[in-house]
Amino acid sequence: MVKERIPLTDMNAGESGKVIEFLGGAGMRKRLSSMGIRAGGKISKVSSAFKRGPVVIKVGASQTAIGHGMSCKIMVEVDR
Amino acid sequence: MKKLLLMGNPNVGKSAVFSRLTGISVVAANYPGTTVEFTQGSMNIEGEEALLIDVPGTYGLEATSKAEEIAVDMLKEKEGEVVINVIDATNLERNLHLTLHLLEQNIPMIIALNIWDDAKHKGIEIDVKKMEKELGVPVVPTVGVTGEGCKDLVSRIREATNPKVAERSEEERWKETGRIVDEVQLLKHRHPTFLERLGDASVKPITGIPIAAMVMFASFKIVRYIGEGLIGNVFEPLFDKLWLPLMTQLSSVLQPGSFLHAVVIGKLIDGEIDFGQSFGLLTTGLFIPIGAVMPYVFAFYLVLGFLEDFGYLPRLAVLMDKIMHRMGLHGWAIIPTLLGLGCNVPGVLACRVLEDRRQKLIASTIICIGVPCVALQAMVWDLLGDHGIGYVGIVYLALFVSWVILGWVMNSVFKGTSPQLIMEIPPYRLPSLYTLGKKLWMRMLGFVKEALPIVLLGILIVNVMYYLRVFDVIADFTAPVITRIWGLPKDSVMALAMGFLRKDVAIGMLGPLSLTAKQLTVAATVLAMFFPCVAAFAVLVRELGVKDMLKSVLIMLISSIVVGGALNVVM
Repeated sequence: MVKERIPLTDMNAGESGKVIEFLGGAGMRKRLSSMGIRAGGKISKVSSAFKRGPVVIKVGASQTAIGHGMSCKIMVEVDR
Repeated sequence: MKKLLLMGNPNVGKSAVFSRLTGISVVAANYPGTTVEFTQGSMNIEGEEALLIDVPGTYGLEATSKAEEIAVDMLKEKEGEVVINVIDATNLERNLHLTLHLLEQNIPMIIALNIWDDAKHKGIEIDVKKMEKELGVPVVPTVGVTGEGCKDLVSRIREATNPKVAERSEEERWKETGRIVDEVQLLKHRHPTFLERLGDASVKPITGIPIAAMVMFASFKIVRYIGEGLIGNVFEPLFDKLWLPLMTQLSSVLQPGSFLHAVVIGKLIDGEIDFGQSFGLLTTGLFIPIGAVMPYVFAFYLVLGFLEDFGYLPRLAVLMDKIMHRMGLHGWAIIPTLLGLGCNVPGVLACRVLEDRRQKLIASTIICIGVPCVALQAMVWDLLGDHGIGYVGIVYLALFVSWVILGWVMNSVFKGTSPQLIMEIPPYRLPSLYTLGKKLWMRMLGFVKEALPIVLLGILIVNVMYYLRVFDVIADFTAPVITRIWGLPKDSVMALAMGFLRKDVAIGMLGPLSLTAKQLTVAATVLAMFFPCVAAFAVLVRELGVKDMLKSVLIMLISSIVVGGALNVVM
């Protein structure tokens, strides 16, 4: 399996992968991390709104919506 | 007295557990951030009185919003405190992360493993005994909405303890969380349920936008249908058949023309009492809040309560996120906006969950301007509906356009960036009739308790001021704006002045003035926009502070003059 490293926004709905790093500041990293979204964690993408809308991902049993601007800064390794 | 703090992630059912333990009703809903203020109540633990505090939900112990700050501050007092950590059994990993962090604070703790019924349905098995051993504190499975397990929880509060663990780093905490979850939780594979598929469909744009349109349209129709139905079939007959004969008798006893008659019964229209126009305390004063507004309050909160508990609102927030960004907000702000359609007070209060001052200023200002409360809407339908639905439509359209444009203008004028949306999307849950009914009852009671006295006070003031002819002075003073710009008759100033107190009475006062449909449309729009009612104003000052409140009020005044003037010219 080839692993690709892309921002969360480029991931397709239905795909799953692993969070690699956050390109944003410490504040963003902390906030996401307290909600269970952290480097090394497994996620899957539920949907993305077209054109710069928020991305909805699934982490464990819960779904979280993340604004487009922040989603661009979340780098993931997709299982393809 | 022992202090018990109910703490946990947002939307894990703390408020439901609180209601069960204290018997005090608090508003709970299926979206994160329902509780923005803490509520406290006393409860009985085996004969001993204790204070239970419903703390706003928090993901971590480093606050990212005002509501979370309240939660974290409360933890610092420590004296005589016990934490009841409520966790969502269907979402163990993220919840346990906070649990571990709380344990490190060295406060005695007990865990309520809540939403236990859903976990079972979802094929999640949790070994409670093992979990107790791993964490070193008592763990009690509970179902807050039905009350299951709450007795056990109370009886084991005495066992609350702290295993004294050292402070861990974020990374270590996640590692430990993962280890414990692997130990105690067993997941059974199963296919997604209908509700889960519906949940996913309502956030995907292709299916979500049509669903949102349908939900909004249906909600509107249902509110209208129930509201109108209750007025036509229940409340109007009640007033006409039961109350009118009584009032007619009272009228002849009090003698038309006396001061007491003017205050209690009001003016007679063609020799008879008219509940819409007489404006006495016991005639119009009771008819407006109970006969005209309350049926709509009931219908609105019935529908809103269902949408809240079902879990629809966060999904709407996702779909609206991009549009809200244009106004310097993010999708979550649609929730205070919808609450504002019931009453601006909870709308402004809910803005507390928004992260920064700029967002709060924008959101509360455009709610106060462009979001008419249900009391105002009911009266607009009542008065303007007779002239044709088109006029009612113009009021809504004018308000909506002002809401969008003002948001956009404020976003451009006030420097700053809008923070990004991060919001948990809860699963859809079928609401229990018991909790829905209870919440509706609470909101109705709140309406009667808060609205009725102010309506009566307002009508009393109006009658006294009429009697003393104070309005004539104000009318001359405000004439330039009211007659020249808005095209309204001079005496509508009384109605506008009443708008400071209550909007429904204010619109009601337009009734006897025999305005044209156009004038009514302008007046209703201006009344909705120009200033919040006294109750909304009070929370606005408290939430925004004096400086931002002044900015907000200035924007309201200017925009109502502009929009009212524009309608006057265009129509």
